[in-house]
Amino acid sequence: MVKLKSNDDKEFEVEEAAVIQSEMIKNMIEDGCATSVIPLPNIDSKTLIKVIEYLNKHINMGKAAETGEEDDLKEFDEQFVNMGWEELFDVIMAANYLNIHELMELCCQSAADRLKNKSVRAVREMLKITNDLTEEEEQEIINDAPWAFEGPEIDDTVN
Amino acid sequence: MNIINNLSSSKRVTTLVDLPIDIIINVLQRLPFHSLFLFNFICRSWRALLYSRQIACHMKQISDTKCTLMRNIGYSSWYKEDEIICRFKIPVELQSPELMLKPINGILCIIGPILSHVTYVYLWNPLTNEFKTLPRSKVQMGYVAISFGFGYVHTTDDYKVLRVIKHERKGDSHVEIYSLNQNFWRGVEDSCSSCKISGNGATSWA
Repeated sequence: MVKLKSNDDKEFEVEEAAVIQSEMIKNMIEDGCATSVIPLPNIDSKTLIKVIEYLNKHINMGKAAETGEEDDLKEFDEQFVNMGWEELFDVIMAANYLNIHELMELCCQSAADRLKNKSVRAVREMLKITNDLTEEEEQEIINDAPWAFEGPEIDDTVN
Repeated sequence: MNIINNLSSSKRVTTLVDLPIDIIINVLQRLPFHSLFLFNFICRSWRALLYSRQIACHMKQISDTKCTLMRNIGYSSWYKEDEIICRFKIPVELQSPELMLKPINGILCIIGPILSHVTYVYLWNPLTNEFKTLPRSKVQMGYVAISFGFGYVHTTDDYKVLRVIKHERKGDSHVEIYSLNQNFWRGVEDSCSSCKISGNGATSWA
């Protein structure tokens, strides 16, 4: 077992087989630097719990294909990224720090899926962005690309 | 301990543009061209992402689309699987016949009119509508440009245009290479050793 400590001083025990999906921790273990608790100053406990949940589920990912658990894993992933934007950014930053490639891919795909085909208004609302462009700046390109704001594929819903 | 405290109090990421650049690229690469184009209208910091050369060189969305230049009405249309994905006003008045080379990193290279003594070369980024008319190279009497290539040199983050000019009567040919970073055409003495042009205008850089 490997012990991880979040930046709000909470400790978590994780199986080595799960935690070595993090390249960063894997390297620490290989270098013999993981004998006691590993402090993770960039990650709060709420985010770390999510990351550990992911690591535990994906522990036997290689075997999933053989045992026909791929669908189960896919469903887990879909549920896993069902979180708010800020939470998603937290997990992305944690995956980046811990260097967990698969988790990063999953989260980046989720971010892209949320933005895909969304209207300008919807993106602003989802991410609480204030429009700081002047009318002239907007008109600059609007004139040359009126199609950008039309079409059935544009999704104006916020979710 | 101080270091740890400082790190933990670092600002929380609340929007896309605050993420590390390689993660922003990872997300943006997954978006269709249309969604990426709308970044122009979200806010200043999102628009700035499209103008960043560090990011732009990873955006390949336009590269796998087909484009037609509709000169008569001044628009270019972009197709993917026979569906129009976007249309742009062409920022220059083109004279036929012109040629468009395979886009690189979302940058288009338009050339026209070909087989003429006065051939212009334009670089155009439809995502930002940035447009550049390349300087004319020194005119050499009797020569016409017969072939072009467009390439990107990763190590120097530079876009290059290559052209082969041939003398109409004498038949001898020369190669010239333009560098966007230097905004300058230079002749290539031993043209065969430095580059190879294949029939479709694609160029490999040695």
